[in-house]
Amino acid sequence: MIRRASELLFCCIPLMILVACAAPPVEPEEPAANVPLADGTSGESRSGGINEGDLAQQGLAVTGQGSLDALKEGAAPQTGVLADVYFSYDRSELETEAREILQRNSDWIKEHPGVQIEIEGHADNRGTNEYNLALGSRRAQAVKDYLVTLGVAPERFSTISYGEELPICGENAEQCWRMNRRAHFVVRTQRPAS
Amino acid sequence: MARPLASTGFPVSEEDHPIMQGTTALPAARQTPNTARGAVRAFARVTAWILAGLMLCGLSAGAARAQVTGIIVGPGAERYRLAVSPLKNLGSRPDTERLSERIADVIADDLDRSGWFKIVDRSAYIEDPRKTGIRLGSFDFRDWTTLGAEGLIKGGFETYGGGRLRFEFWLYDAFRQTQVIGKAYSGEMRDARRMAHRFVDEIILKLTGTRGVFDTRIAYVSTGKDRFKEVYFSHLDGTEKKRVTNNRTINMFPWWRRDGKGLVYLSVKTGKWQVFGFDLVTNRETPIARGDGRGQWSPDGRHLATPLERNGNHDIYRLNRAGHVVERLTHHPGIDTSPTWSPKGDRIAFSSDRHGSLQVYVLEVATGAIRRLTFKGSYNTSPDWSPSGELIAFTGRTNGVMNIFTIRPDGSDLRMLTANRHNDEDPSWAPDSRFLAFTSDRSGSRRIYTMRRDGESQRRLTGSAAGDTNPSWSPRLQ
Repeated sequence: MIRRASELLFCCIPLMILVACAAPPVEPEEPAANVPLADGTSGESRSGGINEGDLAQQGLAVTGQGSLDALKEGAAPQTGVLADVYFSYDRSELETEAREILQRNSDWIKEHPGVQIEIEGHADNRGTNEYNLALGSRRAQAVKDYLVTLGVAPERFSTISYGEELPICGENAEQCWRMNRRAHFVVRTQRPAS
Repeated sequence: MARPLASTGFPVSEEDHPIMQGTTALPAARQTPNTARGAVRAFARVTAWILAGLMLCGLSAGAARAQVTGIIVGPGAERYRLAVSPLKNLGSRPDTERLSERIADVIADDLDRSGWFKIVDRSAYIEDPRKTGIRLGSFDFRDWTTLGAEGLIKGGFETYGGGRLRFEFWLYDAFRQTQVIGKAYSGEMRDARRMAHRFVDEIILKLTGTRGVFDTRIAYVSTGKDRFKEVYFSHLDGTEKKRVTNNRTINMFPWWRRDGKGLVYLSVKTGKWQVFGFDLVTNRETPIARGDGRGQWSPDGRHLATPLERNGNHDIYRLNRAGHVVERLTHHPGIDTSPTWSPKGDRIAFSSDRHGSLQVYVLEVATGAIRRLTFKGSYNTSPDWSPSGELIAFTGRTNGVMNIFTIRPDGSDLRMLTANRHNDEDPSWAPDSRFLAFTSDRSGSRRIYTMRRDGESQRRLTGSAAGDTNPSWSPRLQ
């Protein structure tokens, strides 16, 4: 808990400025990354021409939350400034939309050289647990490889697959399956212990 | 000292003493010197004697069934009609545990699950148990043949102080009016059900030529309402469910050690995927290695075959007991998972998407030569090699849903065992190579089922909160 709080603090100030100024366009269905900042909520302050809000006080994760941590807390994992990308069934190739998102994600990562990024690979629940665990690895790796081609140092990334084990949507329908076939990003201030 | 998980009936010694038919006195227990089993004996609470000699012939007097053995095991064979009488209280203490009905239920349920027997409707029984005995000559077979019973199971029990009890079980041929099996078991009350399972295994041995598998366990993963996945094991009837992991994360792919006294599984409890071993005698968990899929111990117990991920790519590796890589067995950018050893340990079947679709392959361990086993369909995975070596079971996708198949290791004789509009996955062989456990979502959420290898007698094993997956059938337990 202490570590997570410090991660938040570490990221908050630059994030606030970034989000307020650059306001990177993101997936419309990802509310956490598309936050109105100067909306009069508590925790904001006015400094020069910049509206600054404390996302943590608004109950929003800026770093992206690890899916396993979210599970332990009994909550849905929250997406931070780095938007999730989605995959086709049984595929790990990056689609056009995913590449656009990763371009934006890479810009942010390059602007924040002090952070480590964990890339989680996920799958929908069709197929076996074990194959889906491997498929999630492949997706996470595909995302990492693409970010590296965009100029981010490979040492900044770690990957983990959760296969089909940590879905964010529980219905048996394509709309839901697609949400689960994702790569999710967690921003960490330091390399996790190996 | 905490009671080990294994103590509910893992190490049990059994001594058989064939004696003459009709003898009713219990023989004295023979002390067999056996140093290797010394430690096991410390746990032993169940001792069994054969009360009556095994008869040479089958049960049925029916003309079409002069010889029972071999007849009742074939697919489509008519089921053998058995009556299971409520057990008789042979002692002076009241039956506070309702053993009379409960243990008869255990026996009837096991026999029914096997699919080889039809249990005569127990509400139709006409015998007055208060006026009859359980030994030959103390009851009238016509009370049973009238109901169509071909075989009759009778039993009695006596409870003692200190939670101990004794059972006496008999299988009779109702037409020939002869004893077929007599067995006595004594031990603690908490093993009462297990003694009944063992008697059923004796019946199946007698009637099919191979011992039954009801005195075994099935390990599996249960998902709780909190969505954590933990490893458990239970009896085939779902009773005596024991929890193995309790780390409130995700634990998957439990697989039994070959001696039945431990399990391996994959856990993300540390934030990374690791293979852990759990010893059921010492109750201790040990990290073995980083891991990325199902691990299976080799038949000699010296090596673990498991997929490991390197740079997003899964290959099959062979590790030693300490978890160190001995050998990388596959070298391909495709996903290689689900290794399973042949019983001789000379081959490993695994699944791979190396040629586009997901298929099962067989690897010669000594040479590294790889041969494709499955050609039909585009999603064939999670193979399990039968202990007999004859068949490999696997999960295959047909018309968008998963089903269980078997195939011979030479690629012949492909059979589809399940065929419904739901998903049946993750087959695991029973130690007799005649039954399989698997996962199915036919009831809505995923549950563990068992079936015969011909696909007959599909029965549900579990029914816990959010779902059960990844069954592994234990070896025979001593």
